[in-house]
Amino acid sequence: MTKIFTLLIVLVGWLNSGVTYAEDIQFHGFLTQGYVKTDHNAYFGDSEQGSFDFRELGLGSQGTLTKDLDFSALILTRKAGGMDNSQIKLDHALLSYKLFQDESTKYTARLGRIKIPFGLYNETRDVASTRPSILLPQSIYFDNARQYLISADGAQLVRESWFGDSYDKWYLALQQTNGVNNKETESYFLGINWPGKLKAKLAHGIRYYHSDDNDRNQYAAYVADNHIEYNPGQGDWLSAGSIKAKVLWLSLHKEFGEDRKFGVTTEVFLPRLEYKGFGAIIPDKVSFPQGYYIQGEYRPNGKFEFFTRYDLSYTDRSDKQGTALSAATGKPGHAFFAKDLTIGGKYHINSSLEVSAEVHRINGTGWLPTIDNPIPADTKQHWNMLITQITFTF
Amino acid sequence: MRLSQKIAIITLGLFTCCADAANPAIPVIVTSKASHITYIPLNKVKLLFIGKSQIINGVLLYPVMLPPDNPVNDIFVKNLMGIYPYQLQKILDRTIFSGDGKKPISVTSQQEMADYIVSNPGAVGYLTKQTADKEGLVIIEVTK
Repeated sequence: MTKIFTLLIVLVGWLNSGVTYAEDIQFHGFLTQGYVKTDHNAYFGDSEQGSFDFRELGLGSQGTLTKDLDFSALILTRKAGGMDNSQIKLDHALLSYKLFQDESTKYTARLGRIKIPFGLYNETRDVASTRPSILLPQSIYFDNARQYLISADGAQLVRESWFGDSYDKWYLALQQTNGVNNKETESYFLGINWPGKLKAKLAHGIRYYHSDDNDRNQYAAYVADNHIEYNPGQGDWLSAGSIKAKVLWLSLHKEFGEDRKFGVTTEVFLPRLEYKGFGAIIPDKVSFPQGYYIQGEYRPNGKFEFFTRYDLSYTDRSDKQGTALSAATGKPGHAFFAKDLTIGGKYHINSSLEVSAEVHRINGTGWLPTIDNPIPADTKQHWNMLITQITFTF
Repeated sequence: MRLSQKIAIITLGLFTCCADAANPAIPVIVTSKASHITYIPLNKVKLLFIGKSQIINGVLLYPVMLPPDNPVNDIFVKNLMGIYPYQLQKILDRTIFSGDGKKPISVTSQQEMADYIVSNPGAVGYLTKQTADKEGLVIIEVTK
């Protein structure tokens, strides 16, 4: 991967030295600070005492290198309790080449580290100003697997077309993630963090996105295939196994009324995970996690917006109470589902500054970060959370 | 000038200023004469200003915007785009921060927008009708 970025940097430098479009370079970024308070369980730090361990800083640049070639890159540092510890990460870095454009169609090829375009929000999941809430619905934008889901290295072919009020976009993606070999993702796929290593092979995906009238209505579907292999470590109880993941995300957003004051959003996550060759501890099986949410939105004026949401996720939809998974892993049953009722709002102080607050009432610990809650038996099934955040975008 | 005259002029100035701020004219869509464009469908205006580049008559168009707190911008976004300025900002942020598109060119005033557009064929912006009356600038008819 390092080679790809060295190549990108050299290419950008070389093209820029040519000069014509060098002045057309833009910079942008954001800074957030959050506060989290829970009555039980830890979320983004020691939240039972009240935690400020939630902040995000992003700095990006984009520009035109030649008539048809653009670049875009964003570096991100995020503090989120034990899950993210302010390391500087490359969020995305890509070259975008316009293959063709006429009055109604455009084809673009992209190369580099590219955000995985699932759902309505994954491509900008860390940019607070683009999120409908402080915490995205965890059934779809699962933070425990964020490194696996956030971006991947490879290529995309994008087709955009517009007709009347309609805008359609197709993506064909061939990408390889390096975000599976970490504690959180391993716990997501294998129950706990084992001594061995996970490695993802090249994945392919197709996304269709439709919107009309400035995103008044939006529909999206993303299907992807990924093959993950496990290489056992020393003294490992697992054998060299593999997981074939087929995933489907479906999204819908609609706004109502002349002034679009009311809106509804719903998304569904339907993966199929086929486990093979791990040995007796994780017998060969096919499991079907499931997640969905429905969200209502109200925008009374140009300053305030409010939402309420019911978000539900199961680690295995054939074991909704987590009984079998609990027996197999020793974790409590409530570690395998989560039902989250949220209400919240946002106030736009000006075009750069906004403050948000939301309250969650949660049954289950399915998406509770294991790194902040290392002893599953100590977690509480029913818990409440208040999150506030201030966001500066430029 | 007598004090009463000064007060009268200042008062008149204040009224003029506040009346303009409260009810600025609906902006018109403008481009450079060199762009050779006379009309633009409304849906293309909307796509252009959410960061989707558009071609008309073989000319690649790109948007130029006033600051979010400018009253002319406010009227343009609410009336022509049909959304609140923060919603437009959210759409643009999604485009920009995902690497999917570029920020519109940003200018600080209507005068600067007029000057920029005159010398950059393909640039499209919005101005009050009075400001749009400038050599080298044309008002584009917005069609349904």
